[in-house]
Amino acid sequence: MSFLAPLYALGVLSVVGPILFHLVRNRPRQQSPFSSLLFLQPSPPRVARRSRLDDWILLLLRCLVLTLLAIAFTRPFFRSADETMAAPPGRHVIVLLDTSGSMRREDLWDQAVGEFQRLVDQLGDADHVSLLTFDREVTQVGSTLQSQPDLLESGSTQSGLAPDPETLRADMLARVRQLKPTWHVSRLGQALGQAAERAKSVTPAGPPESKPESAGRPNGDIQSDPPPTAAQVVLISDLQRGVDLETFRPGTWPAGVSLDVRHVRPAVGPNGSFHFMPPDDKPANEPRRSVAVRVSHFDDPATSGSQPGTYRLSWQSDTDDNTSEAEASLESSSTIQPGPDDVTIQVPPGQSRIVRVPHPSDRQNELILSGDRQDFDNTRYFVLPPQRRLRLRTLGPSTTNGTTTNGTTANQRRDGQPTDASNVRPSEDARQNPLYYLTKVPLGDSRFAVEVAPVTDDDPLPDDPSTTPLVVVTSPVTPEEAESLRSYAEVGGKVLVVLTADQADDPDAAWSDTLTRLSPEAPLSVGPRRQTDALLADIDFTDPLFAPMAQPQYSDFTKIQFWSHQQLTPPDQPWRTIARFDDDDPAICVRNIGQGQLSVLAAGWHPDESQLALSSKFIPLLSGWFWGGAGRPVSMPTRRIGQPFSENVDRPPDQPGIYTVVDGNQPQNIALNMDPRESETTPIEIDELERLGITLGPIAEQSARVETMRQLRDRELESRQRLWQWLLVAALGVLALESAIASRSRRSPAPAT
Amino acid sequence: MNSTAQIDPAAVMQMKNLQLRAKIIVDGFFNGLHRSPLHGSSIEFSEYRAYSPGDDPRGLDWKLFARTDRYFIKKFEDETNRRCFLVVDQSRSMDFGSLDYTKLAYARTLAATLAYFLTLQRDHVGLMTFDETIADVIPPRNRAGQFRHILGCLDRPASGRGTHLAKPLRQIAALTPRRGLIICLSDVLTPIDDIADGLSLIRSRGHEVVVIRVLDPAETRWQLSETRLVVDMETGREMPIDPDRAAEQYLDAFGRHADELQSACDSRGVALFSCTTDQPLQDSLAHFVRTYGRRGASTSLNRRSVQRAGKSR
Repeated sequence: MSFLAPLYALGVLSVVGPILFHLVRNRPRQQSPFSSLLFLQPSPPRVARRSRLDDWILLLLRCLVLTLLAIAFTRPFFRSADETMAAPPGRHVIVLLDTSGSMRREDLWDQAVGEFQRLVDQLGDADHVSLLTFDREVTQVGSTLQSQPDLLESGSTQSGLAPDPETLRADMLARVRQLKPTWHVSRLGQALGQAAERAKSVTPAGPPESKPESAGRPNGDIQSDPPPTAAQVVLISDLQRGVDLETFRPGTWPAGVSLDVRHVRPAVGPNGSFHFMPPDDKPANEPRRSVAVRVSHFDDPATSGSQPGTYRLSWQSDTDDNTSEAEASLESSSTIQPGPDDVTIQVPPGQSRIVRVPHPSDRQNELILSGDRQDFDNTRYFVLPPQRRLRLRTLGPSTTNGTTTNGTTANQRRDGQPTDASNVRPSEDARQNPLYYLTKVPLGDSRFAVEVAPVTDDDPLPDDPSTTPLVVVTSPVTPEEAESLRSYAEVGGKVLVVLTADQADDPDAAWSDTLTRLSPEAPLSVGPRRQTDALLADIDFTDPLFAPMAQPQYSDFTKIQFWSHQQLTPPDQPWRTIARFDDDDPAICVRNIGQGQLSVLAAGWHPDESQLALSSKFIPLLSGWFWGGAGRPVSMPTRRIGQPFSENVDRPPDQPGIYTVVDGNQPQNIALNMDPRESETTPIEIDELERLGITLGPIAEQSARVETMRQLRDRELESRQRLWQWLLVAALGVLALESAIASRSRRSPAPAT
Repeated sequence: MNSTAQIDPAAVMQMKNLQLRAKIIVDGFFNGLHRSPLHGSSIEFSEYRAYSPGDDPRGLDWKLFARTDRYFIKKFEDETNRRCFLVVDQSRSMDFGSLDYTKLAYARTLAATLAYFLTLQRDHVGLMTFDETIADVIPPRNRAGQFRHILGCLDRPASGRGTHLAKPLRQIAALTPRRGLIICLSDVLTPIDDIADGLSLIRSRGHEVVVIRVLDPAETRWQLSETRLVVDMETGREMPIDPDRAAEQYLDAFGRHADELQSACDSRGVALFSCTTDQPLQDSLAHFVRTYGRRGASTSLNRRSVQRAGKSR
């Protein structure tokens, strides 16, 4: 006999009560007051022999009642001898193993491999395991589940035979030991999503006859592999804060599937890290001096204290052996010798600071952080970016001094006559040329050198818009030139037509022809030139050209006078009028042509026609025309591992280092570093996973599952047999018998002694 | 004495008025007598006193008037103002009663009866109640309201505690310097030694002592029939009692105690009278009078004998 609640058997001890009452029954119950006990001696009553015998029977009956009650509460049941318990059904365990860059810290990878080993050891024979590694992508390593033949990895040397799960597990363990963490960022959300899909899609294996390869096992075992009835996901990761959880959609976690999180932690405390900041827009004529670096202190509240981190940044030379570059840098980070240009900084826990580090010399490519015990991210590579050269092309009467924004000599004049820079001096005529003012606008900076170059026969259009973002037209163009301009705009170029007072015979018609050629499907009608003063009145500040000047302190255009302007009548579509004069004539009209844009300014900006070139609005307007709505492109001095690579480099870009671009005539180096998000090593809270609707729960060991199944089986047996009810009935019967015997003994008189 | 006029004590005890109870008993007692004790038919001559207006003219001695031509009242021994102290035990054991009334109620009624009787005889009657110590004391007087005062004290509820006769008896001896009659009403359920010295002390002061032992019928006749836990009313002590085995033992001990008490009283010249609460109170009164009168007769007999002896010389 077995018991569901054996502790209730202690209730049998309550039989002590009736025994004690029986022994102390000699004490009479009735009390009588008497005046004095002076003449009395104590005389306990004698008990008749027959009465004593009756009392023993009553005592035994009462003890029996209590015993039956106690046994009933223990919920007894019988297990049949031939009843054996089936093994718990198999589970499909999907393991997500983090192989991102942060797993390179200390012994985290060894811990992760150990966790996987422990997990495999606690699984039962019927359990299946599938292993997925994840960093920026999810990679399938292997599975013991035969229903997923795409994952099935044969570890057996027997050809054509499916290996047994033990062999598959051993094979999987061997593969895991050979794996190494990568340098990629961790996309945990994507991994969880795929694991959830797999957990939902676990399907039973097909009939054994349809799988001749399963003959590798004895025939008797073919029928004994039940399909897994439950899925569970195990996550082995350092759960650093830089993981991307946003890609996991809340509420998509399948019901009944739990996630067992095996969090691996480093023994040492906080992690100091740094990365390069985007370069600022310093003018091109200022020498390049320093690069901005953000230094961060990521702490783990469980292991670190509240002390700020003191770090030192030092430039080191690159090594010749590129294949071990990352490892050599890691080893050298702890033995860096201080240099004169080193920068020391203190960063409180959980915060970051930006410092400027002097630019490295030509042979220095590695910036190393010292003072941090987690050195997997203490080395970053840097390559001074070359200055890009851009051009602003002009179509119109060129200036006589021809200076460019960067001091280069202008090309030939449009009439083909070369200019001699030593004899050029600014003249009154030059200042009346709109193109003169283009050379005065500082469009370049340390990253970009912008040259104002007129279109000549030797250097005609079209240009590549990536190197020539803007073409300014200040005089009517020929049909060929119009065609070139249109082709240029089709591929993304921007054309600005400035309707100056041309010296041609019929300037209005000339401009009308020009604009018709440039926009034949929607020609802009050009009216006679109005020789009246005008101001810019109606400006669309939502347009990207004027958006930077939308704030009240910059939006006052009433101080810019226009002495004359061309009358324009644009059709409604596709033209847009983004500025008007106070006489309601359009001032600036814009339309898209292909991937580019055509803008028309109804008046010149030179002093003969307006005050625009001399105003403070001219530079931002011209910058807007040149760079477009997005502004200057921001180029980082380094790239992240995992970013798309358009260049062909000398080796696979899968670890930090300096890579040489093999394309192109000029050699170019690219610095590749780990994603800064992998350095955010502060672990996330487990609650964040629960907030996404993921059910957390540890995976039960096989022995615990067997025990749980045994308990469930015992409960079922007991609920079927219900012996406790019979015991209660028996107790009631004994109680009735005891009451009958007790009342009979009270009624019959006690014999005399 | 004519015993036909017996009043059922249960009926008397149902009367709430103590004075009425006492009057009924005394009147009933008088109805049974041939002669009024007030006239003192067997009472010896005591002395002459001058006649005052208002005195009973039947007491005038005409022979002395003839000789002296002045009026004198002849006083007999019963007209002597004696001091009587009624000492009532109010201990918790007196609260026992197997009838409808307790021993204490019976004793109080008996005390009221005796006080009434003695007051009618123009004796000075006082009262003293006690348990472990003296509770109330009313000095003996014969003034208007004295009897009511005594009744009022007897009616007072008693918070009796234990019985300790020796101390009150010593205190009585100290409080009564003049000789008189001490009538003690108690159940005397204490060891004899407790009261023997006290009685000796009182007798040594010349007092006459009468002990009226008031008992309950359950105390004199064993009445428990089944096993019980007997609880002492004074100490609270509990004792399991098997009635079969305890009856003989109790009666034997009780009889020995009674004999010892009688012997102690006889050796000290103390009159002892035992009564149970189911006996008529008139019997107690009659016994008292008989006992008191026999002693008075013996006393007056002794005096006459002395006078006769003096004249014959």
